[in-house]
Amino acid sequence: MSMQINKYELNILDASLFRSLFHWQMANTKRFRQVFTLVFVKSPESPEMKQILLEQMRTSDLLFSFPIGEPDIILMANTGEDEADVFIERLRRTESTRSYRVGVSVIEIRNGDATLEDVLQVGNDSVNRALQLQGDTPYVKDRSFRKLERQCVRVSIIEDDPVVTMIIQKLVERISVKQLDLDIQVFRDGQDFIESNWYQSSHTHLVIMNDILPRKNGLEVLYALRELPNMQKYHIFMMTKRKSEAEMIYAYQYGVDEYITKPFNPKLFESQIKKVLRRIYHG
Amino acid sequence: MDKILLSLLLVIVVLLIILFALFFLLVFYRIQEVKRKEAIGNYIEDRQIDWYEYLFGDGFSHVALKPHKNLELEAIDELFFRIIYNFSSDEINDKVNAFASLYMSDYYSKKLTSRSRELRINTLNKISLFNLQFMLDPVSSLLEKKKKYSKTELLLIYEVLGKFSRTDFVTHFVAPKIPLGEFDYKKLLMELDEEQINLLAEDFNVLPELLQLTIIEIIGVHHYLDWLPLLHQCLDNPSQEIRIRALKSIAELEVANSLELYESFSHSTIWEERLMTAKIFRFATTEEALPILERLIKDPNYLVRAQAAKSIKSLKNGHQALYTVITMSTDEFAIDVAEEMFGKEY
Repeated sequence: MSMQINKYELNILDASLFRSLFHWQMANTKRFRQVFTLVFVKSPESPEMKQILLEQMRTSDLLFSFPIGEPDIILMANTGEDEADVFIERLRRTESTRSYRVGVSVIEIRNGDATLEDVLQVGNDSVNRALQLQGDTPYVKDRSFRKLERQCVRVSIIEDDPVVTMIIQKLVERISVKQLDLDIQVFRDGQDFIESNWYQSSHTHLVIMNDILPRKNGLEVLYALRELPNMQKYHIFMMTKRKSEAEMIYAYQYGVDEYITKPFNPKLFESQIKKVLRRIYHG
Repeated sequence: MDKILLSLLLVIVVLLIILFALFFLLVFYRIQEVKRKEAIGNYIEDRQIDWYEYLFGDGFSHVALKPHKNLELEAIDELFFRIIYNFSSDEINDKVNAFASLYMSDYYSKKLTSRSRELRINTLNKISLFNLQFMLDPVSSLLEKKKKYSKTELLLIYEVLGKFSRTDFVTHFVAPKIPLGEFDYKKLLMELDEEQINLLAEDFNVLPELLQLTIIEIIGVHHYLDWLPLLHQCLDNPSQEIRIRALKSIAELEVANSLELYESFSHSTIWEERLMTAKIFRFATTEEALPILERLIKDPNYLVRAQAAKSIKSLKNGHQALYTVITMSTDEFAIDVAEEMFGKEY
């Protein structure tokens, strides 16, 4: 006798597993800055409702079934609140097939310091708030956990002229981006940088380097960083005296984020760095 | 015999003494040089933060940076070079100028009149790089001296004059002290702004031919549309080179408003003129350009044919016109070049 598995069965889990999966997801958020969304759904306890939820979810989402009286929770990994709108819209389309109201609360989590207790509290409160609103599928979006925690970005300046290094360091120090701390380290050449373990940390890295350097030049450093498995966390600025378009295209192809031609305007340089830091902050 | 040996020994001793003296003198100079470089390095290391505050910050007074000895002037000169080589802004430029005009005017003037040619060239290069406008008079006065300057120096002097003087440079560019080549003129004229080019080209017909050619080229490169009438005038010039360059610049200006003027060049016996005409007709309307380009695509010269095909392709409905050439033309060379435009896909 063959056993048939309902295609949705794998997406529904017992509430007792929520704690472990929440902590695992939080670890990812903290380490890799992965955003995820929790959707709290409160409705009368019925197997039909669970089936409706499962049908509207994506295959990558997980539904945690909580005891009667508590809202069920859908975990949407790598998902922002905007993408969760699709789920709400699909749930609203089921209004004609059901006779009861379903309250929904959407919580996007970006802050790796949020605790399970806080999240559950906010989720319960907001889903109850949603049920006080009009409509058959009232929903609220709670943004308490969208704010990022303070983050440290490591800045490496690789330049052989100490005067230029000092000026770049001062210019970078002048930049302030909310919630970002900059930890700056200078290197005299590419070899020094590659031999250090400074760039191997889990931080997001901003590398500002000259293209011509003694021992290992800028392009060699670029290749080395782009070979790493987690290369996305390195934001690379290359400074050059050469103005050849072909070389610029070549450098961009190999993963330079910004190419600055010397001599450059210090204010423009600051703006470019600030732009990248803001991009880091907003994920 | 002994006397000869003694004299020989004496000569050897004297030579050895001279060699040792020279050796010690060289060692002494080397030590002095190392010490000088070390002192410059120390100054830069000690004062770089102050210089940063002055050049990149607000409100730091230059009085605190006033140099007291020659070595400090040399160190500041090196610091300026390292900063200006890497950073550029009007603010930095103004501050460098303000400081140098107050404290370094004599330092640079003295170097300009140095006996060493390398030192003079270095100084002229720095005056140009640092945009030291207050050095215009000392640099101009070099030309009044009877002293013979090398071509490199004269070119640098002209470069400084072109950069900092609004009118004085014209006389020197028109009648340079040494004959200048086209490349030299190009280097000088690329730095001039439109107003200066206007001034220089005022008496275009009396200028040396090489300068005329360069001005024509610069008009095209910088897209100075106001000079289109001058380019038209050049088309009647007896010099073949001037006519070709004028046509080239007209093509670069990307205008085609006097087509009847250019059309006659499509019949020229000089292939370069036909080539440039094909280039100009890229910007005409399809109706006006097509009859000319369809003739030029059958030209005996490959480059003219290729340019005509390229120009047809860039016209409105140009692809269609090229297909027509491929399918209808009896000229195999024209068909070939039209096919090339489509990467030989037919």
